[in-house]
Amino acid sequence: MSNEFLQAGMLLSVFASAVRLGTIVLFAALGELIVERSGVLNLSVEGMMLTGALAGFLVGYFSKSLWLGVVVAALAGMLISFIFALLAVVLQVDQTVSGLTVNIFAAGLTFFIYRTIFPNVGSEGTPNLVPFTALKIPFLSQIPILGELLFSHHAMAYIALFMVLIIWFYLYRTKSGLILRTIGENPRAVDMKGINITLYRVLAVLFGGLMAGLAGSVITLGSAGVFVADITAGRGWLAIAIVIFGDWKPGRLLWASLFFGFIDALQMQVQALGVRLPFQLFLAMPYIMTVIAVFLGRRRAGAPIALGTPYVRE
Amino acid sequence: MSTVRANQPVVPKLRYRLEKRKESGVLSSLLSILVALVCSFGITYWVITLIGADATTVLWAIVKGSFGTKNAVIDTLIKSTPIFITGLATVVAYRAKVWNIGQEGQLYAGALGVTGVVLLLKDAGLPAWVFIPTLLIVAVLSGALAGAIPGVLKSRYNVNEIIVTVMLNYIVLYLTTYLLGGPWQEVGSHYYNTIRFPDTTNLPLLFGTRLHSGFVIALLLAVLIYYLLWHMKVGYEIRATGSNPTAARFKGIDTRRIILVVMLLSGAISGLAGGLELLGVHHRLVYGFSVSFGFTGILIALLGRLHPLGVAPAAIFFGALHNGSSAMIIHSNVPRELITAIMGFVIIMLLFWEVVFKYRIRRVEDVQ
Repeated sequence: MSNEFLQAGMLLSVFASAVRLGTIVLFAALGELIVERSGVLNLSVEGMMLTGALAGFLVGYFSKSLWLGVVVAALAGMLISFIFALLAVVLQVDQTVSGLTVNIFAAGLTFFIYRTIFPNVGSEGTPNLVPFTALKIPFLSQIPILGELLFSHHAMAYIALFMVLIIWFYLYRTKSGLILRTIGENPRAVDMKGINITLYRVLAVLFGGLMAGLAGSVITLGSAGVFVADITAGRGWLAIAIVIFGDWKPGRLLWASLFFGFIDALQMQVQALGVRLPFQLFLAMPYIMTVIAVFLGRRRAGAPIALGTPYVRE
Repeated sequence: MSTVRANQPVVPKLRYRLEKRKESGVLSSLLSILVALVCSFGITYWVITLIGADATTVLWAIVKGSFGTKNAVIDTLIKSTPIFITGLATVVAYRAKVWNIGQEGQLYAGALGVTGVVLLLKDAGLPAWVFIPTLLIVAVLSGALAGAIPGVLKSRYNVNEIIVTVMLNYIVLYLTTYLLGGPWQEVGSHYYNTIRFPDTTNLPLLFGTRLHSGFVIALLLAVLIYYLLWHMKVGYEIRATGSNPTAARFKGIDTRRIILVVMLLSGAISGLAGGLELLGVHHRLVYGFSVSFGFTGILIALLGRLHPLGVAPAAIFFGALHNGSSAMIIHSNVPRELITAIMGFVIIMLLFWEVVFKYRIRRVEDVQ
């Protein structure tokens, strides 16, 4: 009897951490959604997330203000995305090449900055901070099961969920959202209306950088409390995969993110249970599932037609 | 259309106009590389000063550490060998606009294949002239196998190869840590490493130095890939697929087959890089033997303008930076990670200046 209670409790905690872990990648995926909807493929999400993770950590660590860290992380992500926007949108360099380069640069830069500020990491221990604590919403968090599942997370998780609504509203209920979507499908038509396509795309890329920066800050300020090399662990790439798997639609992105949060939470839980299988198999699980997800998402029709092609006026 | 007014003398008015060239010539290509390097040098100098080190000393340490003595030069060439080869792997794929980012995983796959066969045959007493070629073939095949997964998924099912190759990097890495933490771990070792390979697997050394023959193999491979891309039918098909897949299909090129061929080739070459690195330098599989060789290969291919013969100097340059960074951290408090950031920055600068130099200012005579 008590064993069953234990199992139910464990399952609930897996679902709860699925929501928490899912919101990390949800931020980045929503940002990339806006970028891709404008017809630009930004592959530097991982690098922007790493930059956000570091910037958020550094500011949080030295100023003791986690929220200041979040803001600076968003700005840092934007700064990196600005380099990408300059290359890929303004100068129309191949988007894949620009994305890959900026990505590698950002990764190198974050480690360099981290090692410059903390030269003795290792011998003196890893610097750490106290991350965001759960913000239990009064009354609602008292509801059995649902309370722990939905209303007992840190503030950033609520913001991520709320962003789904905002982005859905922007894309489908505002004029600017309609223009953005059309730029991704048929930029020439929009250009004929006298709308500045370059400006729209640059702003979209900057927004993507902001969201990736936020996603990074959720990792260091929301759960880890430390910064280590490759702390994003491929979640930036996962965000790009989720946009494909979620068919470029905000609602489906939410479910896809929660699904991958669940896989992540599950693999941690199963590891903790001490199942007699190599733990590396569980660690590799999210990556294997991502390959399966992009495979299943291969026939998605929602990809913007102009995705990846620079707009050249004739 | 200009209109000519009868009561005014016709004066040609000079105007300047920015024009963008379609293709950049060799000269502007070299110029953009040069300017990118100068800019990167300036920024590096400034950043080193910013962290409170003496930039001149640090940069001299890098130069002396990479080219100062005969041993330094040999070390630079050793360090540039794996990234030279992953750079070539990148050229083959990117020429077809197949975006392989899985060089790191494919390199590890090659190393895993080699290690598996060495552990299997270590007591068979094979002579070196049988053992080494066998192992290199194994490295090539294992790398090709790792390339086959994204290759088949892309060519048959049109699955995004970028995501698949990135994910495979992580999967292969976890497979490596599993093997090195369990079945393949040297008995009694606290690290992720295998036993030392038998001496019959050591690559022959050159000129009585530590330089292993992998460097020569890399050079030969560069010539081979140049020949393949510009003097063979399949090379033409690869480049045609890259520059315009639709037009290539109209010409009767099976672009799906090309995508598969290119992924297999790229994986095979990366696998070879992993095998050569083990047999030439480490003589055992050890976790972290690749210092981001795969990702550096991408940057090298871009710096070498996706040309096999451009990859050679680019690889030696990055190998030198990598080698010189060891001297740098001895002589200053500048962390080694500076080098990775510089490498990325050089390419960003290159992409930037490449476009800028495509523009030319033309004087146009405007008759009014």
